[in-house]
Amino acid sequence: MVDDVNELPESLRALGRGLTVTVPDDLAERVLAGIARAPVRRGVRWRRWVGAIAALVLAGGVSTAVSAPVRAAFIRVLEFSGIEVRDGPGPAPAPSPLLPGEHRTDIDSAEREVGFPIRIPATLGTPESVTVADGRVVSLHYGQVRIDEFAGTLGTMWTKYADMAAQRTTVGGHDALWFDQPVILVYIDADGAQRNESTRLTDGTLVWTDGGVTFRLDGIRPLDAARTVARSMS
Amino acid sequence: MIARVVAGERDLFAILVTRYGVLAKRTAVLHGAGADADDVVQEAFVAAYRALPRFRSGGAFRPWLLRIVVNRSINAVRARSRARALADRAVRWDSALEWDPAAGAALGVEQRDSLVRALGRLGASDREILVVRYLLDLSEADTALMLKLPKGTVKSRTARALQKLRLVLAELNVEAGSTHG
Repeated sequence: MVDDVNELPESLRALGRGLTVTVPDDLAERVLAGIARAPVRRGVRWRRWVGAIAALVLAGGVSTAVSAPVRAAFIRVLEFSGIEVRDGPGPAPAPSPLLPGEHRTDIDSAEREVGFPIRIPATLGTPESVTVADGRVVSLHYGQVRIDEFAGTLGTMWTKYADMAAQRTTVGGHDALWFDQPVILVYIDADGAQRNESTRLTDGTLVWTDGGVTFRLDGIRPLDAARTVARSMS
Repeated sequence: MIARVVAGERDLFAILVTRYGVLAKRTAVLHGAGADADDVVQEAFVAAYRALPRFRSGGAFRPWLLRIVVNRSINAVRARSRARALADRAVRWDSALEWDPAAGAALGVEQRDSLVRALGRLGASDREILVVRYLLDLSEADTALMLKLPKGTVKSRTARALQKLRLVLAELNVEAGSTHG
């Protein structure tokens, strides 16, 4: 019976969870079609980016005041998963950022190429496109959302210019880092060279490792939303 | 991300639709949108997009969106009841709800039915606050934002509505007892 003081709210929550709803597969498309006539205001975006980069330079300046051991410890953790985070603004984003040898493929071929099982987030479903770069990075593309998967044990593969911007969190019990601000992301190739043509500005990035593979989820905010998507990949 | 959508990256809005589509639909059906729920949700997202420049940055998107969904649902209910004969104006609040049979493990069918019936006997505002706070599982703060109420009012109204629900459930028990006994 539902007469206990604390039980009633829980029963109501269970009632809510038991409600079946389905959403049309093409809801997002229909909504976008519906707003197609809404005003689009270009131009503001670039001012925002310039502002964001300026903020990053400022953040870099501030972080140098932090004691060296703190920063060293911070970087060591990130290097463990194939990513290092550095001070400073980093290189300018490339006009059309591209990873070395980045090409379109399908999940099965991508899996053969990189040699580890690729995970797809249940919350986002089948990606619009799949690309493989440098024989070791798989990227799933969902519009502006991008997920990179790579073996995090192959050494440093990415540099993020955004020290102190990371927030520690977890994904399904695994260590994770959340970058709420825009950060400059540069790919490091197998020879350890920074590939400037890959330089991208990312915004809202969740990084986590699971089973030797590192995952980078770009473009979903806030953190809760990103973690929901991330958890749906395990 | 909302700032970027406002700044012109319209396609990013699809992520918000993907992220909140199901919750919006739940909100719509729990507010009586019934067969119109899909249209209500779609229209609500379009309306939300158009209203985005007025959305306070740093504010909570979820309760803000859901309030738009509720307003659209109420409009749909009104439009329907205007089109209907007076006789079937009193539609049961749960008439368009579908329950997942697999969820019966957490909550027995009998218990579910008595909760649904009890909610149906509550006044609209008591049911509203329980639906938002518990069935949609919004936090107290988000419930306050969504219903445009002070947080303290949400707390007291929720407690009062729970108390009423308890009384109605007890009544239903007595009725069931006298039927079977």
